[in-house]
Amino acid sequence: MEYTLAASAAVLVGVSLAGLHGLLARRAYWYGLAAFAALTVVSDSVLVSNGIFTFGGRFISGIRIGPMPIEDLLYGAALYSLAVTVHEWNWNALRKLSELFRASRPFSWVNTALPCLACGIAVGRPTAALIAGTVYFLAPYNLLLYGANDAFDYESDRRNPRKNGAVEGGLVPPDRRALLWSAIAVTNIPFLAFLAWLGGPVAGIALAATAAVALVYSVPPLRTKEVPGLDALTSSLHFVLPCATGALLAGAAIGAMPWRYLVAFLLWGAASQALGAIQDVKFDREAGIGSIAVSLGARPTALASVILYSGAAAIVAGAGGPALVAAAALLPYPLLAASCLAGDAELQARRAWKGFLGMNLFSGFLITQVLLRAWGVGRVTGLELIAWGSAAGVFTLLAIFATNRLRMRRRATTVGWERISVIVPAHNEEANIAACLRSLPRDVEVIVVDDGSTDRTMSAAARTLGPLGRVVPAGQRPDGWTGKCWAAWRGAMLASREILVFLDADTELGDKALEAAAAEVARGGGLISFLTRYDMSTFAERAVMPAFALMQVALWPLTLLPLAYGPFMVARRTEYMELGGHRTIRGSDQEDVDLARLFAHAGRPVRMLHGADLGSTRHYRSARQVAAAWRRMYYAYSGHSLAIALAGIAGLAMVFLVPACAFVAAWIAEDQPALLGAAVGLIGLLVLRGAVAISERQPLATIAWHPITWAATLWAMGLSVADGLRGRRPVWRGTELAGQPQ
Amino acid sequence: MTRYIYLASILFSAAGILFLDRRFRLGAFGPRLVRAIALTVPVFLVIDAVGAARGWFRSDPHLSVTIFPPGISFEEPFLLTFLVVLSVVLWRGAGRLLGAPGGRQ
Repeated sequence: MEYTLAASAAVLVGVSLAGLHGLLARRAYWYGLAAFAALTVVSDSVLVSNGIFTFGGRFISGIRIGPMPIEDLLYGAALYSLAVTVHEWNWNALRKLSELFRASRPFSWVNTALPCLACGIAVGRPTAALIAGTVYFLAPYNLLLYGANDAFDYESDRRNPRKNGAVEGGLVPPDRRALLWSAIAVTNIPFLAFLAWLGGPVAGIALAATAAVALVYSVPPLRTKEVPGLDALTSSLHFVLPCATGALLAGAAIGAMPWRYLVAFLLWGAASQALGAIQDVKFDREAGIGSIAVSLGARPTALASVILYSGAAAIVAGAGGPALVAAAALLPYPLLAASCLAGDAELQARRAWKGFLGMNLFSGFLITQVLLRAWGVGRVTGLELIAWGSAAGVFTLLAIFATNRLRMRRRATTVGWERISVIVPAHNEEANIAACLRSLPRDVEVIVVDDGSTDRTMSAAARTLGPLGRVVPAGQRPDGWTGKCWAAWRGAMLASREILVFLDADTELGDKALEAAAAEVARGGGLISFLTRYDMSTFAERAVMPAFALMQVALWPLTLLPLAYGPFMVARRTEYMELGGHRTIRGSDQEDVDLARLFAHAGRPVRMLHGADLGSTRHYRSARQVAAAWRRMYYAYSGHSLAIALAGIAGLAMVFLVPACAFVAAWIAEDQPALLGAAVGLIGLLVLRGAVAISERQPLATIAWHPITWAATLWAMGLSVADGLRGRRPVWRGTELAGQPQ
Repeated sequence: MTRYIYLASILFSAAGILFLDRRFRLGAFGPRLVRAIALTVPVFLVIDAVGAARGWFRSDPHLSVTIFPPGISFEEPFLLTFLVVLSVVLWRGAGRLLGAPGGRQ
């Protein structure tokens, strides 16, 4: 009767939620429910009679409608009620709930849920208690942990520059504390009781201990976060206890618990907490907050961290066998902590902390591999892993593309053209400049700055503009300036209006472009740039260029970093001048990126927006130029870092080429699941390419050239890395560019 | 091939619902539907996980693409998503039929 009870409870909850939203009084709800129920009876009967579902006899009431057990009808009714209720929800009234959601630090959920699940599966079975426990350690536990922190440390977190606004800082303001505590109680108490009932008395005690440790960290009178030593211990326990509890929920006996690894995890966590505390030592001292680093001093704390990290690695290594690999993955940590022993410990600790965050990805990957092997997931072939991995990558990109297209919708506001100055730096742009200038409206101020052209750029510009705009030579370029920066700066000095638009001479704007740009910058200032679409005409370009557009999609997360797109950038003149604009970055050979960094360092917003509908840029005239551009730019854009450059190439290959290769390989190997994964990936890729082609106004036929596109692109990127390693200077349009600024 | 029939029927049915939504301009597809899916599907996946682990119900491994522990079939998230879409389309359709503001916002 368990399923009967659960389904009845679900219906009760679903219908009460619908009732709370006044849906029960609406006839449409009941008609829809009746239709849903009727369809459920038909389809569920088909599923059950074909044996797709079977039911455990002692868990159901035995009442059936045809072959369908009555419980499935209740289940369906619950689903319908919940779906319709959520659909009808007034989300604006639920802002407070989203605040609570953020208060539980969704980024940290995985840090507590994964240890619970992984440890449980490693030593026990995936019992219902373990699954439910994992859910508990996702949201409710983190709400308890971080909510208690917010309730007591909102003020001090706000004052800490490292935590203010970051994921670690307090999020719930004091006037919502009652709501916070009731939310903690409602989500935690019943859930803990339920888990204790499922998992038995030992697990129940472990759960109670876990919750208590979560509370004592910030709640007075214990407030262990201010007790040197105990602070590191408790904050480590916040992750170790969920892990241990997972094992108990999975049915492991006390003796069968993986004590060795739990102790190692505890030491590792304490060492990490100590390392983190070193960064805050100055602030904590000023704010009068105690911590291990405040009382021991920065350097002894670093030493303690080194010892604890080494201890963790040694304990893991003691198990021998495959654990040695995991121990090796832990070895870089003591070195990281040791780097704080010399020099300015606080500064080093800040650097080490960044290294720590990066190291976690690497070690996490290695340890996961070890665990997967240990669990015998070896039954999944490498091909299947690759095929499904690439499919997941493709769909992640699709999701990114879709959400960004939705988010990038610009609000239509009108800003008068008489407030806009357009600056067009031009170097040998005879072929493009007329089209560029013709695309500008009459009322804007246009300043073309000729950067030492040897062709007839100036006369072409003057002829097109007539008396309306100005065409000026950039004049003698001072030492230490690159041509582009000098020309742009000269133009900015001459501009008289309030909004500056930097436009490349090979870019043509649409009707709405300048209005949209000015409106964006009027909303909050900063540096705004637009990703215009690529104008392509020759066949070879069409084969190779779409990679650019897809890269933009692939690298969209990078738009969260301070980046700008040179051909079409907009800023307020006052802000630009205040920061020194192109003069500050005068030696830069990637002036858009450096300008973006300049704005970001000054705390100004930097945004790169979708602009395929606003204008087009004709960068290149042949496939050779396209390839040369990849070769020139790629290594510089990966920050001259070999690791990033290679990771980028591998990631792009994984997403854009692997589904096709995996499909062929799976076909030959007759590996059904891999074939399915590759097919899913290919379908996703087709949809993605189609969507990008439409938004970039490329012919759909270019989709067929996909393998050539990516083979050529990855080849050029490889050359770029090789060039960079050999120390060859980037060459662009026949001129060697100046060195890196720095 | 029998393992793919279930998944194919779910996708086929979903396509049918999509068609009905378009044909009668119910406008079910939008951020509201996404929220309904994002909230409802995980809740029912948890119920399924508990149910499968306790042995309330079981999916036939020969009729499913693959089964994830503790016994959730690969198709389950697809089925749940489909059911949510169906619910919302039926609710809006019923509102339309009754001429009440139930289906429209």
